[in-house]
Amino acid sequence: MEQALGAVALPLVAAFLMPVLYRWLRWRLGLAALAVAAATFILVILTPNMSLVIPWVSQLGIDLSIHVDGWSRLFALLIAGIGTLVVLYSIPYLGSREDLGKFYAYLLIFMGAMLGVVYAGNVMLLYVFWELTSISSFLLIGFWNTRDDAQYGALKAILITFGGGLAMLGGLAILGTVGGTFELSGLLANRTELLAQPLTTVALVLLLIGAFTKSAQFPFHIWLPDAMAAPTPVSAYLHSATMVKAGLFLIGRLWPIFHVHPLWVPVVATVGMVTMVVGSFLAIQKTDLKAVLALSTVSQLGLIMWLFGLATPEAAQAGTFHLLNHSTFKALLFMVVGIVDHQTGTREIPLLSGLRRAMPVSAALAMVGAASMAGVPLLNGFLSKEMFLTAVNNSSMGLAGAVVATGASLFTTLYCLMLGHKIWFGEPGETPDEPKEGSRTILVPPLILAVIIVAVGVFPALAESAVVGPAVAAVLQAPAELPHIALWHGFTPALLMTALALGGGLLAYTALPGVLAACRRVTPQRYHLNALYDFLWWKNQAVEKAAKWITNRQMTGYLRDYLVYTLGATALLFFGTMLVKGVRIPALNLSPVGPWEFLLAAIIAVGAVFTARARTRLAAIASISLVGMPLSVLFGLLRAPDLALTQVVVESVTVVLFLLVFPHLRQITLYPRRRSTNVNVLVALAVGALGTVVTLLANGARLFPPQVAEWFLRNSMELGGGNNVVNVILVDFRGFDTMGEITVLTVAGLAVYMLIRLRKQQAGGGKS
Amino acid sequence: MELLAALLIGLLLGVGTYLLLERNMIRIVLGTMLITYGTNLMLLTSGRLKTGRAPLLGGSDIQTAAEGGGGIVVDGISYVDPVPQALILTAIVIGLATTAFSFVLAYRTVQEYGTDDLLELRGVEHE
Repeated sequence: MEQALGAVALPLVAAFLMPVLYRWLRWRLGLAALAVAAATFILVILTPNMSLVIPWVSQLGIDLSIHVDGWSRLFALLIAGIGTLVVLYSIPYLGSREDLGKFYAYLLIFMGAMLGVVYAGNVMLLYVFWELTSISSFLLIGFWNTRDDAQYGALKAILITFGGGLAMLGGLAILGTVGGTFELSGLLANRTELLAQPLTTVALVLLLIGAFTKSAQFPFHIWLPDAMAAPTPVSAYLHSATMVKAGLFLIGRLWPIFHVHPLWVPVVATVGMVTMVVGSFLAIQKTDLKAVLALSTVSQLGLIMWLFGLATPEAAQAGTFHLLNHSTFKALLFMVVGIVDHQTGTREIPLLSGLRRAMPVSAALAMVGAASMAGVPLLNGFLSKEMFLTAVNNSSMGLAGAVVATGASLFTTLYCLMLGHKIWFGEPGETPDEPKEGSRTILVPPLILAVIIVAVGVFPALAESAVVGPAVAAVLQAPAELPHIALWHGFTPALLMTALALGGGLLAYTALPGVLAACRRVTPQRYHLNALYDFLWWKNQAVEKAAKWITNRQMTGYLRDYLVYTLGATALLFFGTMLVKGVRIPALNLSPVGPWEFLLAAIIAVGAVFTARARTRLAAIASISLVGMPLSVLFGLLRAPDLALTQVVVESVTVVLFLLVFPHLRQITLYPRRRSTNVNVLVALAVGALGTVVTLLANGARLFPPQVAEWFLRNSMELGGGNNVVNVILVDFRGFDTMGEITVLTVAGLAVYMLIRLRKQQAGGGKS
Repeated sequence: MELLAALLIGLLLGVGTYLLLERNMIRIVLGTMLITYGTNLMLLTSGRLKTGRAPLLGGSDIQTAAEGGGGIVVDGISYVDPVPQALILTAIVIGLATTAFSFVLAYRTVQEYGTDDLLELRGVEHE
């Protein structure tokens, strides 16, 4: 258990040290971050399968529970492994001019948060880490925060993923309420009962929105291309290899519960399929290398989503394997594109050609990555692509699915050729900087990934037994007979489809300009999702304007309005509850009214009315005293001598205070009311009625248990040494409360003093 | 007596609220004072009124004349509830502190901004 906790905690803690260490280490900070990442990777490798509950907010069913199984291990290895390579890559990539302290802090926060997502055993804990990954993604996209595209991309990403996260929180809350627990293991155990509940469908839809936004599925895919404003190491890490796969992680976690749900196949498989087609179709039209990669990531995520949506064990196996492979070849491609960008000063495909002469190693690496993505044999992408095509073929989608899959794969081949062929061959083009090969350090991480790609491609059994097999078992949660992943499956329909996709892609590549022109013609230019987003959030800021309008309607900045809302709502709630619950005022147990008391009450009433009618300052002083002074006498008559004395003193002090301040104030002008007086009168009447009713209700029910009063009366002499019980309560039994009271008085006194002093100082130093 | 007190409380709170909803700062402070009075009386009434002696132990014979019944009985003598009284005592003092503070605040506001009209003192629109 220490390893799992350590793997999550180490990067999170180290993240906060990064800005501090940066002062001493300067450019060497990358090495410190590398050490942290590598240590985390080792901890991840050492983490066994386990379940553990550390109590946290147990009353709400939210605990710090850890659940590590094959599915989490696959992700954890990717997060820590690719994370280590990315940190290594970032050292030469970023150089020493950037604010490295900030960069590595964000990156390590992400690493810890993402490991938290995959290790969480409680869905609420998962949610917390999930949102933390969104926040670190936001910070990293906006790393170059003075750039417009970085601001735009960061805001777009966080709005879409937080929106989805919110939906997901709702889904998790429903799931936890219906299932009776927030623990993953508990939910899995109750899955049959869960599915019987109609509310579970709502939960499923909400959870899917969360997963789709995070994994950039259509129509939420629009944030991912704009997230490319981030430094390339971030794109390689968060926006292709790990964070965008969090949605797939959630899908894998939900699979055992929901894959039999009637909505699962139609929704998940369709969304995945559409995403795959749209992503690959848009990818070929882009000229920016990172944009191509971003949309190809969208497309590949759609492919994996489609596989999990098919709800067969065979498809889940293919999805899991492709998820692993995609992380390797896509991270590699991002790294190579970063090197190209770094060395030539541009990412525009039309400007780049013939780079293989200057950058032979990068060219070879890019070709391995692109070929793997296209599904060329002997590389890992070929294997999982074959399994994908087979799974679609064998699924309920049948021939139609197979045609769509082949078509999308054809586009995939096309953009893979652009990435792996177009920029490297032909005559060298004009680039801003003279191209030259990247440094050795920067080439090491993609080289390691290339080795993994080939190794998995040639010896798939190794990957299967080490990570894929346990991961699939954890997703299925049930024993299933699955074929072993093998290099050669014989002449199958899938092989034919692969050949078609590769051949068709090559054919289209020879006529690339024509194909691109045709594609652009059928792509909508004006009415698309980005335009909708921009209308709502960016150019037109429709949402912001609407929010501002609503806010300004209620938040008028005028005290009266707020008080009307608050007091009116309180009165409505009170009387509404009384009416609904049928509360009656209980029989009153009245004490007799003496003539003096009646007289005093009458004076107080007159004083109150006069106060409201007072037009001069002096009249106000006189009439408020007409309330206060009789009230103190009334206190005396009502057997509260201490109150009477205190009230008299306070009344006198207040009058003195009035006299001191009033010469500086204006006469009481009656400003015309802005809104109708009737509302004010109504609210005042309601509050007055509330006071009367509450008093009468309280009279029937004893608010203070008599034992308390009795205890004070009995022990006042013995424990407090005083006859006056009220005094003993204040200075002895509840002495600390009185100290608080004195503190309030002191603070108020200081505030008064300061306010007056401030004025004098300003007057002395020339009033602004 | 409780019924009379309840009506008085209603009046004090109602007039206080009415003043609180005004634009003039002095009237608002006066409103808070009336509400304080009303609330204090409400607290006292909630512990029942005149149910016995004032909570002074070892009282003389004079007090006996003012006794009622149904209070907290200790050693055969009925006392009124001392707990609300202790609470109100605190509330009175705090009330004084807030009144003093609001008055000085009103005074300073008039000095700084030259008006005691809350509508005029509104902040800017929300950006």
